[in-house]
Amino acid sequence: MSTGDQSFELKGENGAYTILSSTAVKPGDFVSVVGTLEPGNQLRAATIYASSPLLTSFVYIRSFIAFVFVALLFFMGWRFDRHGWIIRPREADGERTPRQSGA
Amino acid sequence: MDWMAHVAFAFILCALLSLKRPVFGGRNTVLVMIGALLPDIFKLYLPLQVIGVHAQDSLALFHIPIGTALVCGLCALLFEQKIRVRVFLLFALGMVTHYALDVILISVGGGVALLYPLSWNTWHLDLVRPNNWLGTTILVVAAILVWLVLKAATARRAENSARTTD
Repeated sequence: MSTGDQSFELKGENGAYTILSSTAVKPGDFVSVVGTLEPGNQLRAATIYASSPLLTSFVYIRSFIAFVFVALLFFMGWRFDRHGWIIRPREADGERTPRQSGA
Repeated sequence: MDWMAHVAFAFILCALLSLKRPVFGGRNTVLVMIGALLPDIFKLYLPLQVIGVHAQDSLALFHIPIGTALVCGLCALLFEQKIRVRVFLLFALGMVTHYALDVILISVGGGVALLYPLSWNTWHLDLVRPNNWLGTTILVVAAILVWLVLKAATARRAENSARTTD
């Protein structure tokens, strides 16, 4: 990505575009842009959002931690019963299902 | 917004609701947390992209309330029949918390189509950047504080009832 004062070049899925915008972006940034496509692969930005790769990767790291936390919490309260392919609450202390108590 | 913020927000809401309605507490809290993550099931397109499957547009259906409600219903079917409706409603509450947070985000693509298929309008308040870490930190700290306060209150209540029994 090359940057200029009023424009920068953005590598998209279907080729490179020159984005006409005064928004400050740095090489490596993730950029989302909505605008009007003009001749010569130029896009005049109406709305633009740029995010540094570091902050973006932190979002995924935080999300992964949250996912692991929720998964652990879920299996502390619920269990997957393979016999019925069903999810059941884990028994409270002292509570037993008929099969476990041998009844 | 990242999943940590969604989970923390769902927890805070459940903790407060459980003061009046115990059904939101205990093991049911995690169901609301899962419901708060279900709209982002569309992000499966990211790992699919790695194997060359571009499913972003198809999976985007799940990031609108009607699509997420469908996912909530399907997930609720995995649970025991007698608790399915309750599980669905808890997932749905989580879903509502997800969209409540997503609507405040800055959105380039136009926000969330909350009323689809009744309306194609999209909503976004453009208040918070999606990669914002401060909002997440505030929500996580608030969730920890709420958890500590509730734990202390429960311990005190148990102590008082034990003293009364004596």
